[in-house]
Amino acid sequence: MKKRLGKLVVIYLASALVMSILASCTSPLEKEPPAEITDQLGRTVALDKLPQRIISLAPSNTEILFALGLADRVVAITDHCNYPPEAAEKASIGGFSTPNIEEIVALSPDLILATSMHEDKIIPQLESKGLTVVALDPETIDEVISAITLVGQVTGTEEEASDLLADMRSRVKAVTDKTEGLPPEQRPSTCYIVWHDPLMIANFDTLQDELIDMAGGLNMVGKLSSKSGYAEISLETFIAANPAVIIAGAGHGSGEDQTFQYAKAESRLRETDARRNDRVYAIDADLASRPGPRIVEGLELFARFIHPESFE
Amino acid sequence: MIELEMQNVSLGYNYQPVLEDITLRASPGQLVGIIGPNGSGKSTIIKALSRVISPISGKILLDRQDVVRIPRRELACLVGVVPQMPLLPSTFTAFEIVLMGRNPHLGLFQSEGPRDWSIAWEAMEKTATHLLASRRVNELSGGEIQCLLIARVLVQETKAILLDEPTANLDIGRQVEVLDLIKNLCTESNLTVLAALHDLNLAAQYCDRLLLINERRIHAEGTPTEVITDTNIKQVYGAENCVYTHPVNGLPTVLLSAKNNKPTGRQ
Amino acid sequence: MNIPRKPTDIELTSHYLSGRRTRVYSILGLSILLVAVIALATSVGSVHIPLLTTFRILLDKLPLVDIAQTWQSAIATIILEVRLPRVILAGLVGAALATAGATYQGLFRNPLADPYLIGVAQGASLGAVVGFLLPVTWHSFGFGIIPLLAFTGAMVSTIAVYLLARTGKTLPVTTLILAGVALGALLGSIVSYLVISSGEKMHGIIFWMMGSFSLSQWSEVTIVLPYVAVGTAVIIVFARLLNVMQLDEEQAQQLGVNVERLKIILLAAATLITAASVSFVGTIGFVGIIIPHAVRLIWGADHRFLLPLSVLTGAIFMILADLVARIVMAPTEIPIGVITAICGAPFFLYLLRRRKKVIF
Repeated sequence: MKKRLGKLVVIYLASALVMSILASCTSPLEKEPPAEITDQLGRTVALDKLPQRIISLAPSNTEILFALGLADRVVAITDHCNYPPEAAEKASIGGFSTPNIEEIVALSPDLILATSMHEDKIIPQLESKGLTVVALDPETIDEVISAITLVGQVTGTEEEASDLLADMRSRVKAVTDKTEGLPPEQRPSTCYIVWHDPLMIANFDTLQDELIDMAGGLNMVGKLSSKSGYAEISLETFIAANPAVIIAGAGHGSGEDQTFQYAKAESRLRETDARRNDRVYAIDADLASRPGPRIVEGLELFARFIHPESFE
Repeated sequence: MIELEMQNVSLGYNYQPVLEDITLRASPGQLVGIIGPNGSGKSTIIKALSRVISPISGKILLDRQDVVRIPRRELACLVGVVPQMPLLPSTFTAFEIVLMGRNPHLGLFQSEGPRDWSIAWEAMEKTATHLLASRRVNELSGGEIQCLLIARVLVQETKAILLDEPTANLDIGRQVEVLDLIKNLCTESNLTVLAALHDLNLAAQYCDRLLLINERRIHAEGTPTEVITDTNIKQVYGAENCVYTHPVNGLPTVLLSAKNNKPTGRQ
Repeated sequence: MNIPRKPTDIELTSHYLSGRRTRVYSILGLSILLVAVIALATSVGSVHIPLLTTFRILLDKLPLVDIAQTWQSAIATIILEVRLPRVILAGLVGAALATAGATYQGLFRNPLADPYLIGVAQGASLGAVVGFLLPVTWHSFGFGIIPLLAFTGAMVSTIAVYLLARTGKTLPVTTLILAGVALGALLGSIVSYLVISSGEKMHGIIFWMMGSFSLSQWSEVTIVLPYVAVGTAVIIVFARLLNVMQLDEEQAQQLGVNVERLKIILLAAATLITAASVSFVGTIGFVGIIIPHAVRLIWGADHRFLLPLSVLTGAIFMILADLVARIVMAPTEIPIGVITAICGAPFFLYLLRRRKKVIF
């Protein structure tokens, strides 16, 4: 009798040990997300299980998802999600600001990643259908980092997230180490042109403003307008501001680098330092304005443009 | 001196004929009157002679020349029209409206000069409208406007004048004044004058020749005495026994009485 | 009572010709004012440049005058290549729209007529939107394909309206208006659809349609100037006939005016100058309908004065409106269509209350 009891205890302990070992070795698929998180719009969202069917409503969200290795859990993206190339195989639920609610619902997602653009109309509609929506709205590099962390938590990919963030942080540091202490005299007057007709530049409170600052430049042109965000300025103000470096956002496809062509060809800008020293650069607008993992690539390019002597 | 002629002319609007196979001639120094019931086509003849509408068939000749061949500005120097109820803008003064009659005589780059103003003023004096010179058309009565139009056609200094109901809105005093003026012009300056009149008495008094239009054709043609007869009036207007003889000059006179019955036997 | 005397000289006649002498002096006065306004607008902008510097730069440009350069070349660029062409273009466009408006109002004998009545604006907008959406950028003559396509759109739509409205040998005015309004509505709806589906280019297209002088340059002035100059000259030559056209068409014919030929000439000239303006600066509203009315209120309806005065008044108004658009919220620019409406409407109401004359 004692022997049988002892055997039972051993079997019991052994199974407990095996089960706890198994439990600790579970793949992320069986992990639980936090019961509740606060997204970047300040909304409290309740989560019950790890999402398996994720829909992204913005290209930046798509990039984050794919960078965290969640490609097979993504069921749909928008028309404008063009990176990474594998994303093209995914179904699309419409445009950036015009996602098709019915299609979204038909795909029975268990997580939808939205942005501040969807706050007014889209998110309430989705929630009324009982769907889980988490909104990301990073406006600075730090907030991009928080966004990636948040997605990692929500999807149970904290490890991948921390790896990604470590890489991003080191790349950022590689730039800021050289530019952090630069006094204003050593910071070239830089501006980022969004569009040429009307002339629109990135003023304070934009991602590009932060990139310029971190890359060791001085967003002087931007300071001429008191309007935050993207500001229209007159051509003459721009000429008078005399930027030393002009970075123009370019899109995709032929004819999409109109702004860059304009900055290079507009004869009235010929006297600016930027044109005289041939320091007009084009950058893929996605790299400079998409608040996702590739923003560090944008930063690196900015650093190369602004301080070619320190970065190549 | 010019002669106006219509040869077998058919006129209509939207291919609906209003007049068929009309042949008429107006010679200088003669006041020709066109009479007929409402809608018989009197205005249409005037529009055709001034080339505002084109004939469906037939030819309209001015001194043996087809009107179609005459450039419009030249035509306006030869033929002037006093329209019946025209639109006149109130943005111009009466003087300016009259002055527009000088338009055919001015080249593209020319403007009215002192001579034109002089002609305009004299015309307005002749028609007793010079007091209205600085007034706007919306302030004027129908009769005053009518006299302005006559002044305008005088200013146009044409060899032929076409008048469409020139006395319609005038009081009897003015009617006589205006027609006296026109008749004098006709005989003294040897103008060719054609007037559409609805007042048969005035037509009889002033016209040298009359054309009675009815049912798309010329019903009668000749001197007033020949045309305004009991038979004609009854056939065309349906009014019976109303032609009398004017006690002073023996021309036909139309007198109406309320019940339209007259004791048998002429007075 | 004043017994009217026979006018034997200009002075007496002017009494019966509704204010002739004041009009001649006004033309001279407005011409001088125009020069002053051009100088003012060139001197003022979102970048502060001292007045003396501006005059020095301008004087230096005159032939045979040479002033030692004491200014930065960027400042000269601003004055001579940003502000001056912009001001000149604004003047040209203002003059063109006002003249075209006066011509349409005279031709159609309708106080509500404006240069965009028969679909020129919608045709130009359609051409421009197509230009925005095409994935092509070739820059010819320094200003791209959009003005070219806009001009084509404007002319094609006008010709279409003309062909629709022509009956036999005549061009009935009411049919022309109806055809123009109908075609304009159709084109406008196509434009709206294209704009909505244009995605990220929507801002650029809408900005163009609201009208702006913000990137005006000399190359645009050299194209617009001949069109506007020739077109306006042609219209002014026929000014007296346009007066006679204010009577009905029948009377005008009887007074020697070749009405059909005049309609086509004036229509073509007015449309041409409108199309040339709209193609480069977008559709600026309000100027074409209100300036001629304001001129009529002050100086009367004789087209021999109405037209030159509209040229001058339209130019002055547009230059000043553009100036306001530039400096009120500097360095941002307010769309000029907003300024023309805000400035123009109360001014016109004020004139109407004061004069109470019949103007149409």
